[in-house]
Amino acid sequence: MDRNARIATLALFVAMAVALHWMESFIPRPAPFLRFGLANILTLCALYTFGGLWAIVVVIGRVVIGSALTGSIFSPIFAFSLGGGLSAALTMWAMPRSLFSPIGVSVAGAAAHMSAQLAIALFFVAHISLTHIMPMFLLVSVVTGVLNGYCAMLIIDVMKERQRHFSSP
Amino acid sequence: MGKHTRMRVRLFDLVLIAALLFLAGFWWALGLSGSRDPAWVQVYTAQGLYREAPLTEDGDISAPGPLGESLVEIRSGEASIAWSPCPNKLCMHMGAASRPGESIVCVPNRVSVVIRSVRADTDAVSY
Repeated sequence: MDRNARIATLALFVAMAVALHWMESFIPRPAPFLRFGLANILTLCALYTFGGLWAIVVVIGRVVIGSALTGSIFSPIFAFSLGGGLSAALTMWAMPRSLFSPIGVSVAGAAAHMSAQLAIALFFVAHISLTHIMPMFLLVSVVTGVLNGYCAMLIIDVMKERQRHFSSP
Repeated sequence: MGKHTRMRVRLFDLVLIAALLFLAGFWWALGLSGSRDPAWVQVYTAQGLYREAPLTEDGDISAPGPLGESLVEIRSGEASIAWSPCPNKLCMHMGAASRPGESIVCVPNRVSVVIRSVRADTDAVSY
């Protein structure tokens, strides 16, 4: 993919991630850190199409623009989003893609997202009983990870196929 | 043009998912077994930890403070401050504490009652 196409595609990824991030804020949830993390689909797409560095760029772009839209920028929620998103991107980058499909990579990212947010929560609220929260967190991250990973897998497949059609003479 | 092979679920995906689910179940079982262990009542005075007693056994602990003796009662798995020499008696009205993490504090007499799931010497392991 040439430079212009890459810029356009990345901008599209960030825009879609922001839209999903924003739409998700309307879904009722018991705690701010329990969410589907649908925006992670686009992080995965960027990771598979352009590599880990660009996935991190998509995460930062999504968190900054998304938080500015929902009005939570520079609030504790912003710290949760950025910390969770970055640790998810770094973990997914580190996952060996020869062994795992996007589903496994996504589940690892979701678990990293949850763990990072829990660590930040422990920093803000000292007395949280880990034993009671952690099982639920892991369960949620597996479910959302499989869901997001499957979506990402479909998108990446279609993108690869289209790219092949367009680039072949 | 070679046909693009679609990605499929891999064995390691399932291993990772199973491992995380197992971890969740393990952690959950750990939480269940932890709550069945007898909890401990810790009574703190201005000097630090004053006395520790199991929540399962009824008993009284008399804790000295700058205003006099506060009486901590343990009755049928609940701890409360039965009498306190402090002026407003807020601690006596706070009711009983029975679950790990709950506490009753008497600020004027510097006495606090904390329920813990483990003894003080093993505290660092769980908190």
